[in-house]
Amino acid sequence: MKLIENIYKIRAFILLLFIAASCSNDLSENTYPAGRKPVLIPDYTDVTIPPNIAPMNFKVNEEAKSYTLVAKSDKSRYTVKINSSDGKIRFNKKQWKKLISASEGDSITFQIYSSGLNGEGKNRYDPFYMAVASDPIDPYLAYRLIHPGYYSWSNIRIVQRSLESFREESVVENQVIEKNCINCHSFNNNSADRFMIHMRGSLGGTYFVEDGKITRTEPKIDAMPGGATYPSWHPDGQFVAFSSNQVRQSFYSQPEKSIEVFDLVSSLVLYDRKTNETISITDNDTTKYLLTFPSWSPDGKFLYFCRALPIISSSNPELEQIKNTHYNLARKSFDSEKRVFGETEIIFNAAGISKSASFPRISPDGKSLIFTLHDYGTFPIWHSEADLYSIDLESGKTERMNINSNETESYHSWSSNGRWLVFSSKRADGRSARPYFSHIDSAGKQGKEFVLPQKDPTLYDSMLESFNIPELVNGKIKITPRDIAKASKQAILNSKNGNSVNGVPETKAPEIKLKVNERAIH
Amino acid sequence: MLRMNNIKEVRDRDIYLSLTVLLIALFAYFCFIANYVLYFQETQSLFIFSGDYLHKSLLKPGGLLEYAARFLIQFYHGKVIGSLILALILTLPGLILYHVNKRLIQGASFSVLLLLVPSFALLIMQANYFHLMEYNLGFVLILTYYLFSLSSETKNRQIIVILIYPFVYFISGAYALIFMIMYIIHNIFQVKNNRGYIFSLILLSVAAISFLVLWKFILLQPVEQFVLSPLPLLKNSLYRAIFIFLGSYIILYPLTCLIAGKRKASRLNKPIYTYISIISVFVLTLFILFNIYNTQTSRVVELQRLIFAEKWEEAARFQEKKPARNLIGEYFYNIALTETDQLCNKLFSGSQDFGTTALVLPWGDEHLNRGAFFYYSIGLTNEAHRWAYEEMVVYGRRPQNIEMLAKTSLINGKYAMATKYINILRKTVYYRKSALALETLAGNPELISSHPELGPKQELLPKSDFFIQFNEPQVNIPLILAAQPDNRKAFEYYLAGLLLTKNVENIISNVSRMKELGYTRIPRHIEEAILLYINSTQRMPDLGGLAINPETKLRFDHYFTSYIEARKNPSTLKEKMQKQFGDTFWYYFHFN
Repeated sequence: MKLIENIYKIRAFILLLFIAASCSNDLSENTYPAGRKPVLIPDYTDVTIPPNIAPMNFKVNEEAKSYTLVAKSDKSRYTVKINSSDGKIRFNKKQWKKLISASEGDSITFQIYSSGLNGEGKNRYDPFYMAVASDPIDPYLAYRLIHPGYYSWSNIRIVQRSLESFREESVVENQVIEKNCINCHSFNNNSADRFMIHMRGSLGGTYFVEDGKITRTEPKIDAMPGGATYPSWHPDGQFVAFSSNQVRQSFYSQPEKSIEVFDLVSSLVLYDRKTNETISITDNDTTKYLLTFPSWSPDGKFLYFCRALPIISSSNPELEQIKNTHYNLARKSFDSEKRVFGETEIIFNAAGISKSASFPRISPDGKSLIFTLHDYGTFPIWHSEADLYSIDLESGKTERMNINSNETESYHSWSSNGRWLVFSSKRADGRSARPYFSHIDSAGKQGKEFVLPQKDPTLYDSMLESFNIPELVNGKIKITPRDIAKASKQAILNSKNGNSVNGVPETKAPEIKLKVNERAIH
Repeated sequence: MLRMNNIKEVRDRDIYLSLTVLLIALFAYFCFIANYVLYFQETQSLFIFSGDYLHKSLLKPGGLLEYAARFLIQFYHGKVIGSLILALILTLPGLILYHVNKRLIQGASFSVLLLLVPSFALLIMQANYFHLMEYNLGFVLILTYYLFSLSSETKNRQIIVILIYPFVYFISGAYALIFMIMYIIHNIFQVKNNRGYIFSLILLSVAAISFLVLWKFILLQPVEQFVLSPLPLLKNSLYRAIFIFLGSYIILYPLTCLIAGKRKASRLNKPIYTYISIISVFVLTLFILFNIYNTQTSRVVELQRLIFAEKWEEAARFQEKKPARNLIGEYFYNIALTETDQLCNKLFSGSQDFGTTALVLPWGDEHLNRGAFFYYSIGLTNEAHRWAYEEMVVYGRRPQNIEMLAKTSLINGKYAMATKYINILRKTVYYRKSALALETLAGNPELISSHPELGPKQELLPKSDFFIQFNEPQVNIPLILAAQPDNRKAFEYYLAGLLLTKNVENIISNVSRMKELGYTRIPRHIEEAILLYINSTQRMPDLGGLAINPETKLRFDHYFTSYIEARKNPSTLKEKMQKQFGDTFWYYFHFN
């Protein structure tokens, strides 16, 4: 009995020593400086994060037996310590919240220690930090989860992910809508209550969700060369500008590129939600220019878009024809009272430098425009050279953003407060797009970007799906996949032709039929 | 009492003997005769040891049953272990029903036949290569559940049966609905009291609530998924008939037992009648199996096995010896010849009933799992990658599509993606080894270029870019030849296309290129085409410094004289010529 008592005493003493050691903040003693920062997956070193972001879990990608992280708020000195045996650093939700709240407008310093594989010595890596901005980010991110494939699709989901936690919920799932293809979700002023999606297939249509009500519509009129494709919702909520595209894709034989998606014909239309009318935005000659990617200015007085001279003459174009198709950035003024557009102005002459512009997005303060610049064509998603550029709309100054990588940066959108940009990047593996966030301060300075944090920081290593069309949303979307499934049973509401109102005569747009085995793309 | 024990002992022994014989017969059948069924199924899915793979199984009712089935199907990779697992699973219904019978029809030796019927039915269904393991497991699960409900007559046991029903429904999907009807029938005919009726009503309510809760709030699946999945609903009339018979048989089993139990005093219950019945069913099963056995299917699947394992020589020999006279068989044969540089030497040693379509499969879901091999063979790795990717998206991860994605990513220098695919293979039982071998190549261009398989493929890559013509896939052959003139595999495919379209003029115009492409002798079928050309035009074409093998000349003379001789009897001309010269271009030219 005495022996057992002694064993308990010894164990208690060891435990006390361990606790005392653990409580010591001075882990630096008896450590060897590594002389560099640790390699992290994802790379969260020196990034700028919002004060309401979910825990920035990461993995220390260094060989070691064990790892210790000490994260300290530089403002309040609040400290969090995490031990890990596999290098994965997962923050406790409450501790993380306290840590970033305590560091708002300042920064958090992270110090990592690792012990050698054989337990000998301890490495101390150079500290890194995360700057915590004062500007919060919208609480939700909506995106489409899809295999970055070619023709075929199986499961497609539009998902909303809480940026303040790891909670992810489906908004639309094609499992319950006869495996129809779903695409191009678009929000009115980042509103969780007003958005639209396209559905293609047996239950096809454009679905408008407005304050809990879902309407299945078909904004197509004869003057459009294809269905309503890329949308942009006018800030006042009454209008949606669509491009209408006859889209095709071809596949490269050399390894550098996989796919080229291009338009045979494309034009712009305006859909009036109030009157259910669709009118042509430009003129009736849809063969004169290829027009795509409409995007409203925040005041609703201008519609930006991309425009190119068509060189492609058939549905089976030569590679050189595609390579010579360059889109400029352009805009038209808009009078919402009269539903009338002004003359086209070129904003950025990309063709002049043998480049092509896509996805114009104007900041909520109207001061800058961010777009994607790539070598040619209209689909930068498959162009590794595609990068984000910004234009100062007051001075006209254009510059390459410092958040780019050697792989594709393409789709992007602004937060409702204009301080955060979310963009797609394929930098991790060259194929799967991931949403990255960058802080843009009032002076236009960009903070170092970070990828959407995940509960398991190694998730992206095995995930094959892409996060497609990331859009920041100002709250939780209340619509569920079952609601959309229910709405898909509605009789479709066909839009009326409003061109007579605008004085534009209607002509039927040219249509190039799909060949045998050829499918429209998703 | 003594007499009862003796009967029981005899019956037990007989039953165990019957089940053992059944097990051995099933094992032998699937190991030696119908192993193609197992191989085919093994290539239809890839069991991955990961949380994500399990998670996907939790998203629909019956998903866990499919998960368990995929787990077992992976062992089909091994002929013996796969056959043993399948034989065991198919024997299990008999063993379970034996214990059911012990509770419901004591002393009736006729019950031996009753308990073997589901195994025989499942065996016939299993002969269809689309009959998956989950279908067997579904029946095994509900029979086990039924046995559990019978194993005690206490109220508590019935409450447990009802309480676990939602979980059983979640695990087995529509099979739980079969159990529900079976349970109600049991209560109506076997229990026959108020308690039984009340429990039936409660189970019905629990089933309805489980259905609604899972459908409305938890699992986002269409209604059909909840009602029908994962039942075997294959579009084959015999298969459907057997399934309906089996489903009905199991649902009505409590009633059948009641009838069988009542007849225990009858003459029919004598062991001799039982044995005759068992043998009759066994013979009937064999007769059906014999009739539904498809030699062509078994051959093409065997050929596929050799192609997927890259045993090219063996594959070519197999097709020559046991030809699969369908598009896929001939396509695979041509792949095997290309990979061994024999396409223009042996093209007509195998059947070529489909012309150029058997060189390049047309684009479409039907051929997604096979079309990549052609593009991989001729160095269009981007297109091979696309086919494999499309297959993965449409049909899910399979061993061959993930391997193809990994290899083509390595050839194309996309190492980050290659690593992702390799990591998938690493988490499997049978493909881990090949994953580890590929892993050493990722990020190491020197190792890839010196790799015996990937290195030569890299050399075939086009040197200039063009768009793939997926609507007219044959057009890609001249396109890649223009982009990489040294590509001998594509060159032989090009010539094979000319041979199959009997375009002798064009063949002749390409012979002069052969020497610069590294040929030291002219492939046999090209020589045959040249001799035809010379014979018909009396002109000697430019052979680019190469010569025609004297043996081919001799054989042509022989062909010529045989033709003149055989022509005397037109009714036997083709047959005679085929016998002697069926493997030549001359025969193809004159008789196809």
